[in-house]
Amino acid sequence: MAQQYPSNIELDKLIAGDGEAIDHAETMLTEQLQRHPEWAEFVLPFLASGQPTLVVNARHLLTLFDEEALLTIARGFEVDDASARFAILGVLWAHLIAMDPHDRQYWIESVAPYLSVGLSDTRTPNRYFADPEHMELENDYRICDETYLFINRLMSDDFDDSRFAVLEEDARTAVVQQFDRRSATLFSSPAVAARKAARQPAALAELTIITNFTTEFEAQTAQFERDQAVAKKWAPALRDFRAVAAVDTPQPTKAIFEVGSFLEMLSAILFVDPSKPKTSAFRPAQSVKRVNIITHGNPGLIAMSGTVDKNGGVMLTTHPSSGPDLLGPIDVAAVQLASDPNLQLDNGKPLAQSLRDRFAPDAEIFLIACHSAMGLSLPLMQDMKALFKTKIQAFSKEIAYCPSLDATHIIDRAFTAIEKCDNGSTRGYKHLVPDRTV
Amino acid sequence: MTDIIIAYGCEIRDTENHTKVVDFLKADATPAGTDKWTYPKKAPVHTISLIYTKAGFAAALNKKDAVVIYDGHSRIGQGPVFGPAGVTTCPDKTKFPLNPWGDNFRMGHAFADIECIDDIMHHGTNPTEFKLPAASKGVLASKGLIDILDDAIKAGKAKCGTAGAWRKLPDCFPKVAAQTNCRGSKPLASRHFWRARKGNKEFDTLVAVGDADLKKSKLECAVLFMNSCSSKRHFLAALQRQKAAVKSKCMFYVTADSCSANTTLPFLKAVLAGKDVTKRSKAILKKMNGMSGSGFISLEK
Repeated sequence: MAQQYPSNIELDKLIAGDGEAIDHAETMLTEQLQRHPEWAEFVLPFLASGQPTLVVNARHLLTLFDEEALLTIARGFEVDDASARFAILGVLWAHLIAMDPHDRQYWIESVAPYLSVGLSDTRTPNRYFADPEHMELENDYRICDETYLFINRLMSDDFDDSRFAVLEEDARTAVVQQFDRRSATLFSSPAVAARKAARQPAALAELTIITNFTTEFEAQTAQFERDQAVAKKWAPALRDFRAVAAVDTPQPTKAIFEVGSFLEMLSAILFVDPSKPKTSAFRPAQSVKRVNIITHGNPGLIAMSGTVDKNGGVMLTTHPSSGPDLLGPIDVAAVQLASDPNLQLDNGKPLAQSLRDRFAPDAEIFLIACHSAMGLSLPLMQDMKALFKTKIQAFSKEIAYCPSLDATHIIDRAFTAIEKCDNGSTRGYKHLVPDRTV
Repeated sequence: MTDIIIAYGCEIRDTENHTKVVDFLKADATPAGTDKWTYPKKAPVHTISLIYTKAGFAAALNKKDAVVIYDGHSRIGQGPVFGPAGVTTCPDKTKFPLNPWGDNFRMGHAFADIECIDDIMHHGTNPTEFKLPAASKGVLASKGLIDILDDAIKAGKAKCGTAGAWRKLPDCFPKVAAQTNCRGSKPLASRHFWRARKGNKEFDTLVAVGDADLKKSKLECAVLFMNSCSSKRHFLAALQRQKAAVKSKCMFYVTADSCSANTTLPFLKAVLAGKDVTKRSKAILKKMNGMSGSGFISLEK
């Protein structure tokens, strides 16, 4: 069960102050910030404020966190502000350059994918120089130049920036673009994966969530269920989701999770042993590349549990309390609650930040549920993207379940199709192509 | 006693960065002569000296186990420069027969790539032009500089429009070459350029630098923090070469980019607090790089 704790440092006042308060309280602040890596989320927006005092103090504070905040700080590159991006490069440099070479290599490979958007940012940042009139500014680099140099300088001690430094803007652009084209493969190469694997326990890259829908058909005869399916008075439940999931999920015995609430789904993403959220270790950082959520849905609601009656009627379970909670389905209120950076898990770690850190930079979540991209589902998709910091893929049409039948019973529950079963029903879920991505 | 010597270069000694260090020392240390203090006030174990001359900087590098900081301009690789307070961007010839902006401590590559207008004319200097060799082999310079050299050598005697060629400014842009600077001389009159920029309003040229001053040093200091723009690119190769030649153990803090932050002050405070700055310290590197305009500082062997 997640709990909410208030922050006990007035960070906004420190950031708006003259900087001396941070200097004087640095030891205490460092201890507090390292205990609360989620507070980096609060500090990051000040880098885009455009106000020198706020930027300088926010940058200082961000260097007081430890490694637990590094992925959060790197994700700050998503803010479309050149000066904030430059400040983030400075903060990351402060953290990484002080590491031993092995740790530095691991961390640059971990943060670089978030920075790649900077390789196409041709704006020149405000560097907030203390005394600009006394500067001999040799290179008025753009963010794309700075990002290129930052990554390469940290990737190799032998990197020589002298060739880049003498190039004019057009020539630098060509160098950066070439690096940008190969950066995706550079940071997802087998060598990088092997280095990460050597530091982390074996991990699942793909998880499939199926939801706790009970069905009255379980109490009926196989013949009855089969006949109702023929009469189109049938709907899928947990065992059908399980059959579909098992076809396409790698390592299905380990990677398919049955959940009854949003919180249980989050636990499945977070923990190596989701049944023991108080004591289990987190899944390794950046290990989850794909999550499939196979369930029922309505516009604006992704159900986590419910019932199917013997006429194929589906009832979606709603929230157990009047206010927003994590114990029911996924909807905007629940996702926004989970997004609160101060909301903590029972193990004392921040929920939202811990979730985001589990996902690979290019991770995707597939909402394999009817109308998961229709109407009110669109703002829900946006909120989910903001919570998980992943791509969200969904369907505006129905997902049809098309069990294969013989004369007496359902013989294969794993067939699905988009909208109608005569639209080429196929076993599993990976043939279903989402029509909406955010 | 640990000797801490801070060498302030031209212009930077007139900034708030310098004032803040002096104010800190006045408040927290004990005066021990002109520009000299001891620290802490009770049972001092450090002496701190502020120096402002090229000779002082040279002596600092040879001070055994000293912690030396240069806080000044790199002069785009031409080397540190020193002068009295209030040196203007183009100093008057009567007051300064020897232009401080051109009186560098030589500790760099064989040559530097600088701007004719924004550097030579701006500061009223007249640096010795680098004499183009027949081949770049054996020339001690960064890869980027060697590329410039190779292109210029390869182009040979070329027309004014040939990119990368070593062309005479007076032949191609006579009005630019004929300009008189604030000190009454014409430093571009017979100068070559390898690149024209900004719509033919700026010209890049190569000037002789070398490491003659550094070569005289035994680098006995424990640490040298080159707190000047892009000091890694401009000076690290020569420093490492000299370190190997004289079997020094000196460690170098250098910047990868332009810098203006007062990183000298937290570095000084770290040394005074007893931190071993000869080894990689997370606290020190995070503190300095956490400052806006710090220039991406690293510790190099």
